[in-house]
Amino acid sequence: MLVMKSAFQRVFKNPRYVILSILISFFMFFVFILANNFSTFVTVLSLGPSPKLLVDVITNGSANILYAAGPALFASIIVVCILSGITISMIVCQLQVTRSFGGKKNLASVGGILGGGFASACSACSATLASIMGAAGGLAIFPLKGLEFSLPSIGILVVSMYFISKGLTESGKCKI
Amino acid sequence: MFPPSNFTGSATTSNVVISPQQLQQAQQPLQPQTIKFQIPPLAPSRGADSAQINIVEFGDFQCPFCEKFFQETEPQLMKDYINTGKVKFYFEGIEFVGPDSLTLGQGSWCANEQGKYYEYHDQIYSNQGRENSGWGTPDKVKVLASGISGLDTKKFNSCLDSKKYESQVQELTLFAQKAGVTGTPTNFIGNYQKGYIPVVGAQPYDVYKQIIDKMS
Repeated sequence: MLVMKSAFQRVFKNPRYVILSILISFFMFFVFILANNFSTFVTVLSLGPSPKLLVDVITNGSANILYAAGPALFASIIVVCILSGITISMIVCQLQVTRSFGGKKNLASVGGILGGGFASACSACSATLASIMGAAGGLAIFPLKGLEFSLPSIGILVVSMYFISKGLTESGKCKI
Repeated sequence: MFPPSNFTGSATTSNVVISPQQLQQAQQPLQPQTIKFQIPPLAPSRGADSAQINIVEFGDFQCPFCEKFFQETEPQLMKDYINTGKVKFYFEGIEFVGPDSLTLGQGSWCANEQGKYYEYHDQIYSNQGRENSGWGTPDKVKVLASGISGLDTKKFNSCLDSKKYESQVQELTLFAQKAGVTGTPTNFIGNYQKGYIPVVGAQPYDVYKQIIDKMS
């Protein structure tokens, strides 16, 4: 915990990393919604440029996660997005300092981020990313409706953050 | 409206209307993806026969997003397009979420025998339970159907027990899969000549509005 606290203080002392984390968190949420409502985005874009309609689809996609899977899954997806933002910012910081990605341990964070994508319910029954993996009923067939993906994702991201923190503490502070 | 027996009697994979010639997918840059198919000649429609645009919904009575579409979007579509004679609406009940969907789907055809297809549709979606929680078993469906005004429940119950529409729901599900349905609700908007634009999921009303206006 001390290692992580120390690394956090070093990284997020620089406001650029705070902004980067926030932007990545929002971007990840958008990607999760986009990936699970892809065909609708394609249809809307093909109808002509309408930013309002795109915003409506994103808002509706977010509301549908809450509607179908409940606040627990919605909250866990938000946590995955925030942790993804922090993890990626820390990896960027590590790249700046060590000029290396950090190896396989950092690669685990990609798995954590992907888990968030699988946990994100789409606006239809059976058309989630999970259904691509052969789960014909989509998230509906999972007893926890997607928490099976998002909770391990949170765990993986926290473990990744620990290893990144360790690497950062050993190598010095971040520079942009 | 066609008697359901016309479909059941001849329902095989090869003559479920769709074929490679009928199912033409045309995808061009900046053009909405369209699919061409003939609407299965089974379900009654809502709206004027003269309407130039159809909305064909493939839905599952157990699907919460279909219920959301029913509660939030369908009333607006009814008000702006279906009741004004611009659009004809078809609901095709398929089995997607679980085994009870098959029972619920059969119930719609049993209700259709008495001219209560959409009354049943409205009643089921208004009283939907959680997916695969047991609210769609034959006994529960009978209780729900008894709330439909003017429905002969004795006739309905005996129809449901006979399972005579089981293959029909299965054929419709197969048809939907061949048409590219990967989730419910999937609404196809258009007509045979222009093709249909699919909208997957319970999307905002404006998405449907924009497609209908573009197709009109």
